[in-house]
Amino acid sequence: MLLGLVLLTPRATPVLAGAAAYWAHRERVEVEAASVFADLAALLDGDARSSRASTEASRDELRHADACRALVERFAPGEHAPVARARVSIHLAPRDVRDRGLYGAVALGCVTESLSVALLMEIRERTTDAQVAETAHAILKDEVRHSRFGWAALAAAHARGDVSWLAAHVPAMIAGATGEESAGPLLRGVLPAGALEGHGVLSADVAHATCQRALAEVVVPGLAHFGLHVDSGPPEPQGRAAVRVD
Amino acid sequence: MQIKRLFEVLVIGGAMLGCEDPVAPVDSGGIADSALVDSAPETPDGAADTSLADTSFGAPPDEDVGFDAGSDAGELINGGICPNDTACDSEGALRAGFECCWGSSC
Repeated sequence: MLLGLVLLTPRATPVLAGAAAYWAHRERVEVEAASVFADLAALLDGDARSSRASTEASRDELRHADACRALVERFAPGEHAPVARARVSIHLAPRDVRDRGLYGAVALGCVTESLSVALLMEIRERTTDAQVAETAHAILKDEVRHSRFGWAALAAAHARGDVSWLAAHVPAMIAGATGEESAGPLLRGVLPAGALEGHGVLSADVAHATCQRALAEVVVPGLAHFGLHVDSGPPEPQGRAAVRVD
Repeated sequence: MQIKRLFEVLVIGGAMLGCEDPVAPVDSGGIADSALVDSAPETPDGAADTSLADTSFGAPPDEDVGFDAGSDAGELINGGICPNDTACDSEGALRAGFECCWGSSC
């Protein structure tokens, strides 16, 4: 009987287990992103259009979490408990900055979501799994809008006046966004690098290189376009900070 | 991988949206749309990048042609930034034959 049970409910292979762990991680990140966008909507309360966009982005992120959950259950049924769809408290912007709403829009939209777009493009390109590709594609479409939301906010603020005060905060924004660019550290040493690419998990090296390219070719020149010059090169990935790649 | 194109899709596309009339409704069916068009750069293989971008951040694009569309991108007609007289009617809706696209290689 026990043997029968084992045969009927085999544990996931290492690859499937690793993929499930990554998408469970991503489910949590998406839920947290929903909270961050909801917080940002509150910060932007005086700007109805931006606040509404941020609220819709929050809903998008919860939908992304559902898509990630579907992958988790497919790769390793019952192995990972669903992440509660509840607001969590995440530090969005320093309390002493001049405009926390603009800070949040830039950190989330211009930096985090721009990097997320690049990473999702890479995931979509490398995956061999149809559901992963469909999930990455669906999330990607939303992330493009979320990123543009940040660039739109920055452009509007730049048109209104000086935004150079933000420049000093850019390194922290980048460090925060690149802190958890993949689940690489979680999986390193368990499976060969790239073993999970077909299931939508970039190796740490690929994720890092993708982020660095996106920073060098999109984020940094984009910020410079609005007068926000980053003096030094993008920092190496650090631990959890203000915002995270979702 | 076309990360470099993201500068236009995200930064320029978003910036155009940010400079629009701030009282325009987000999902006004075209008034918030914009496109990356007239000065479209050449792609590395020489094909013109006719990227169009739906930059409305209130509603998802009606149709997605993806970032990695086929190599026939150069055959597309560049419709311009919506709304305009070429691609849009008097109410800002797209004319027949035009499609909004948010991809970087439509």
